Amino acid sequence: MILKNDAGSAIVESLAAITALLVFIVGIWIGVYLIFARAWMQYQSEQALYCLSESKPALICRRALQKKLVTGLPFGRLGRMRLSSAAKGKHQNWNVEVEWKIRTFTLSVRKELGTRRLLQSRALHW
Amino acid sequence: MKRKSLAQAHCVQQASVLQMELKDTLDKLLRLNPKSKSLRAQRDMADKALQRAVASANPYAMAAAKAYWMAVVVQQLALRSKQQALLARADQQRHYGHRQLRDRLRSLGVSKVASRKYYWRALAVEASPPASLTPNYEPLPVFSYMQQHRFRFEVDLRPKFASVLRGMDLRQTTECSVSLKGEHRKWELQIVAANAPSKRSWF
Repeated sequence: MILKNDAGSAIVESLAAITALLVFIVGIWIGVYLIFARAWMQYQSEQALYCLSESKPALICRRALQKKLVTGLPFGRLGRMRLSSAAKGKHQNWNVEVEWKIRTFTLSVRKELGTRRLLQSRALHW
Repeated sequence: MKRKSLAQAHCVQQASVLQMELKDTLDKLLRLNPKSKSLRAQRDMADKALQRAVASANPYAMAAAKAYWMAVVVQQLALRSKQQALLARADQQRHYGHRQLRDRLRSLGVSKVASRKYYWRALAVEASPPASLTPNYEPLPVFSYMQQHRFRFEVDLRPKFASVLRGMDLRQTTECSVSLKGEHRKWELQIVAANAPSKRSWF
């Protein structure tokens, strides 16, 4: 069979191009979102550590962290979250572990702050 | 965000190092208290002995009492100079700590660095009795609060490459404060404030 014109072929080709473009844009967007989500988690975990270090109750710091993550990250849901304080002799340690789940993909951040680390010029940085 | 986080980390770290240095000076100052107490007791005895000797009008007793009195006062002056040197050293440590933090923050584009002290001395101690040549230096009743040193500064949250945000005011005030707390003179670091007081609710 011979086509009378190339209109159908152009539609098929442009559909394929649009699909490829959409996939590319969505891929880029997902990548940017994941990078932002990780940075946001790092930053908010750090703020939660500072909150713990101020001797505030862990529940308050936990709620604040949860609120910031849920507000700042529109896609995904909160997974495991653990905040803890421990005294090692004269020194105090604070830990935060947090997971953010986007479908089957999980982003996790673990951070630690301690008075010993602070005094050895190894404060938090990321 | 990263700049603010780094500035916060520098602030807490520098304030902690400063308090640890002050802690050593404080320990040294408090260790002088038993000696200053004993010298005050000796001075009381020397004063009374001198009064008795003067009343007796015995030149030998007066000379002996005067010599003892002088020996005690010389010891007191020596101890006083040690105490004053430690207090001056603490002031220098505080001044140096502030300058170091200012230098460290300058590279991060931080502005309006200010520090607030809660007590006129770098160590929150008071002389007891205040008029004595060698007083005991005792921590104030609200030592932790008075000992803290608070740093405050402004961080520009705009990324360097974001020229479109040039007109927007995205500066945020950040502060940190570290103090010492202790039971039975075992001093530990106490982070009083490390979180940024935010102008924007979502930060």
